[in-house]
This record gives sequence, structure tokens and C-alpha cells, in this order.
Amino acid sequence: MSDDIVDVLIIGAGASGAALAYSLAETRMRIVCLEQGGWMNPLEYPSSGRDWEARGWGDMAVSPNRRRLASDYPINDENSPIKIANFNAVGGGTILYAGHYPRFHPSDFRVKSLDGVADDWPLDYQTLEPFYDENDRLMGVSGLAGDPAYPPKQPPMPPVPLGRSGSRLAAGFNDLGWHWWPSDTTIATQQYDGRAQCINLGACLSGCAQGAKASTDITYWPHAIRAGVEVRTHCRVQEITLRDDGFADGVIYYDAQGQECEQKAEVVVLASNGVGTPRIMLNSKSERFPDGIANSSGLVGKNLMFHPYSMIRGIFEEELDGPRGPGVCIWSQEFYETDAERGFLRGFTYEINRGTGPVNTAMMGMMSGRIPWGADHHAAFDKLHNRVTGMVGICEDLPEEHNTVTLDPDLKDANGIPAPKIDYVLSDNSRRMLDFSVDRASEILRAAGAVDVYSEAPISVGGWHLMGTARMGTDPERSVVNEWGRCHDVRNLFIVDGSIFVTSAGVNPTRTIQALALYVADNMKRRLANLFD
Amino acid sequence: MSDLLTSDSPFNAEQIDLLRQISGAMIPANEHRPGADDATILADVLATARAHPAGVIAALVEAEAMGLDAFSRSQSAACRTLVSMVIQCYYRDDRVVASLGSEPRPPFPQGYEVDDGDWSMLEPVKARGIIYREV
Repeated sequence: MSDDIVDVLIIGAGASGAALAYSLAETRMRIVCLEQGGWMNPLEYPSSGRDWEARGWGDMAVSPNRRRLASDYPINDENSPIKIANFNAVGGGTILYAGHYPRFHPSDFRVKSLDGVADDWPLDYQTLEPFYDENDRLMGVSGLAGDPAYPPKQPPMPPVPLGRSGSRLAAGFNDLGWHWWPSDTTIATQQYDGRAQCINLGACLSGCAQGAKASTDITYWPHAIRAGVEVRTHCRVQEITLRDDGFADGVIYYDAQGQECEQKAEVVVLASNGVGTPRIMLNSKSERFPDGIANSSGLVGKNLMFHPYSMIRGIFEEELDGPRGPGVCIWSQEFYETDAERGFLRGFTYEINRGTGPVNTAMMGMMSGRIPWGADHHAAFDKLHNRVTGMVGICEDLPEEHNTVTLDPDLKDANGIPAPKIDYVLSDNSRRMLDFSVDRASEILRAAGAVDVYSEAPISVGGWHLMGTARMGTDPERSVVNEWGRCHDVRNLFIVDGSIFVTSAGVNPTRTIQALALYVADNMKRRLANLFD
Repeated sequence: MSDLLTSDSPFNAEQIDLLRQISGAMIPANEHRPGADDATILADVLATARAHPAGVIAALVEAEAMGLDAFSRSQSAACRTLVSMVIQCYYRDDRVVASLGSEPRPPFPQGYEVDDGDWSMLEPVKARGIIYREV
């Protein structure tokens, strides 16, 4: 294997790796993707069984430390109030994401200029817009054109249904005169590119058995594989190796049998998310890069951003959707753009969800004391069953160098590779934003008719979005990759996942991660003759 | 209860009886629903508990030491372990699901109906105009 040199080696088959592979496939280069997980079988997703809710806390839990599947690696996140969520398989995090799919706003790329915080991105919304459009077509986006919170865009499919929950909350927003709009989602509301139409299973967060939710194992990858890209599953990368001339040589990885292997490549692309990518980079030490590959700036693993999430739910007297329907529904960006009078800079999106099934309803009720043990259990449960709905606030987190991913000195995965360690402190700005989001959401729920409201902020298990740990920029001393994803220090090493985000915006990041991956791939294709200059 | 006792069970008869008492105290039967100490539901609880026998046994030890009343009010990790386990089994029992007005089946492949809603509710949002910052 060591004499076999591929043209492009992609590490990670999730949201970004799939998009990049698809785009580069037309070059007819030899492209290989190494993925530490395997292929998922949609018929085995939880919604095909009676234990569909329980499995969301077991083998399909969002925390790798809880799942402990063979494809997972442990993460020491004890020193963070927000715990890491991820999934390791072909499709990566898109297997478990909700499919809530907003774009960044134009202002998100200009935070320094507009609000005097963090840094501007080295590209803008207009530059990324054609790649957003291409990605929308490939992933299949459902939504409604005309959202006044965004520049014009045209989702290819109609929006997901409002349902009883969405209608009730929309009435609350209207009562207050606040913005709402049907969410852009990757839930297919019609048959689309071989995918079936959504039938409202309601278990989107543990994989879609219907295949209506766009995970990249059923969107990008089939196209990329047909075009000649090879995906090697159950292959975990330990480190990126370096040639004497300072270029990446390839990787050392462990295959499905646990054998150590080497794969050389002309180009290496990291697509392993905002924790996995710095983990591999920091573990790739050499004489030239004693602190990890491409880390002359010292910024690899720093500036970790989550989206601190608030969760606010109301209890209603009328029956709502319960778990039926796609979990995503409508959004509000009433408080998205900065208004300093609110006591914080930047803003957030409300992602309105529907309800939960009986198991999760009972769990919430008993853990919060709303449902007692004993004879009154049933009456208390009935007051909550299918009568709870609400939202989460997705708050913009600003980059701070003390929020880090490092290598744990003791904890290792099954292959003996050091596990990542998370050190994260919630900023005062994020704390104030979370509190504000809880207060305003409570007003919305009351206006919608809720008789009781409860909340959690931040959601402790809500470290879904991992960004900023190998940031993009034009200054090699203040960034890890340039404005088109190439490492400043190693000119045949690229990064395309959320690590390269300069700021986090106040929206779910997957759509922008994928648009960026297509943008980086486009730059690579256009510069093939002088890619390393 | 004898059908629950098998030679390879990680739980002894006393532990199974204590789990039955806890389940029944947590969710007793009423005129519409069985209790969580119902034999079928308890068998599901025990089957589920076998995946994490050490944690369940530790929780039972704590419950016995504290007494059921104090244990139920403790909100301890041990208490949450048992509550979680009992709830996930209770609320997937066919009789319980049917009593909630739902069909006892998995979501897939039949799915569910959800109302499309009234999109004219968006009119006031549209009337307000653009709210994003031009750059």
C-alpha cells in the first residue's frame, strides 16, 4: 500500500468530505476517502422499531461517550459545560442532525467591520452564494422563497408542514409582531433525487428510515462513488505524515482489522469536524512542526466555538403534534442582527421544534418534578402528552483562544490514538444572549397560549456544532488556512470542515460547511496547474 | 415471577422483587393502564437492565438503603437510572400506547399525517419587509 499514491486523500466522509469528493470527482483524479465509521442501513434506524425513543439514548445517542460504538473515539469534555455531539459513519453528523438548514447572513462575514468583534471572513456571502445554490440542489432543500430575513433564494421543494405546533407558535409570533418563516430543511417534501418523500416519522434525530432527510450517505456519496471516488470504511487516521520538502506525504491509519497502514497522497484534505481535525493535526508532529502539522500560528485547536443552545418549551391545554412530523418546523430571526441595547453583540435564531414521544415526555416530566411517582403519575402525564412544544435558541458564539481542543495526555481510543480534550468557558456575551433568548421565547410561548414554560440554557448535551479550530484568513500568523482552504504552512494540505470558520454565526452550520467545501473544491479545480504555488 | 428467573440472570430473586416494587411504586396501575410492575412490562425492564447490570444493582442497593419514599424524591443518579429504564419500557407497552390513543407500532414504515397549516399566517411577516442587514 505504501507505494500506492492517490491524487486526493480525504479524511472523513461526513457533510464536507462528501461535498468535496463529489465536486472533485469530475477531474477524474484518483480520490480516496478514509472514514472511521461504516455505512448505515436505514432500515435499522430506530424509527423502524418500538424502542425508537430509547435508542436515542443508547446506540444512536448524540454523545460518543454514551454510544461507545466501535466507530467512536472517546472525548474528554469534562471541562466544558457543553458536551460534544457527533456521529462517526459515512454521512457523519448528517446522520443525526435535525436537517434544520439555514444559510449564514451577509452580515455574518463582516462581524469586525459591523460590530467590532472577532474578525471578518476573507470571503463574503456573494462569493459563497453560487455554492450555496449548488449545495441546495445536491442536498435537496425544502423551504419557501421570500423570507425577509435573507437575500432572495429559491429552495427546490415546498416547506415542511406547519402542523398544529407550528400553527400555534406562528400565532404567538404574529401576536408579538415578530419574524417567523418556514424553516429551510433538508427534509424532502417530495420525491427527490432517489429519496422518498417525508412521511412524518418524527425521529429525524436518530436517522431517517424513510430516506427523506438528506444525509450525505444518500445524497452526495452515491453520485461521487458512481464517478469513481473510493470510500474505505472503518479506517481511522492516526496522523498526517510529512515529506522532507515540507509537503504532506500521506497518512498513517488503522484499517478495519486494526492493522496499521500507510496511504500516500499528492493532496490531503481534512474533513473530520472541528474536534476531529485539530486532533489529527495536533497528533501529526514532526521536526518541522513539533506542535502539530501546519501549526506555526499556534492556532490549531484554539478558538473552539459551539453554538450555546437554549431550550424553551411550553405546555399547552390543547393537543398538538407530539412527535409526529419532521422535528424542524419554522424559524425566527427576529433577534439575529446586532442590537447593542439587548446587552450583547451578535444574535441568534429560534429553531421551532414540535413535541416528543411518550418516553421523552415522561422523562422530562419526572426529572423536572412535573410527573410524580405514585397514583398521580397518570393524570400528570396526560397533561403533558402531546401538549408540549417549543423551540431552541441557536446563539452565536464568538472565538476566544482559551476555548481549545488539545490532546488528552492519558485518554486514548481503541487504536491507541490520543483522545481530544475540550476546555471551554461560556462567555459573558453568550450567557447574556442565552438569557435573553429564554426570556423572549417565554413571551412567545405565553402569547401562543402556553400555560406553563420551562427551559434549559445552555443545553448541556448540545455540542452539535464544532467550529473555529483551524480558522481561515489571509494572515499566516493569525490563521491556519488561507481564503480557499489551503494550509498556509503545508501547501498540499486542505481543510474543509467547520474548523475553518472564522466566526460561528447564529445558525446551524452544515449548509455553510458544505458550501465552503464546494467553494474550496472549485478553487482547487481552477488552480490545478499551480495548486501548490 | 418464576419465568423471569433464568440461570444466567445477573439479578437474584430479591433484586428482581425490589425492582418490581420500585416499578409499581413509580407507575401503579389504574383503571385504564397497567402498572409498571405488570409481568410483561417488568420482563422488558429486566431485559433492558441486563445491558447495564452493575449500574442497576448499584441503584437497587441505594434504593434499599434509602427506602422507597426517600429514593423516589432523591433525584440521584441511581434514581434517574431506574426511572429512565422503567419509563422506556412502560411507554412502549402495547396496552399503554393504545391507552394513549396511539397505534402500537413503530413510526416506520406507515408514518403519520400532519396538517399542512394555513400559510396565510405569513402575511403580516411579509408586510413588514426585509429585516436582514445589507452589507
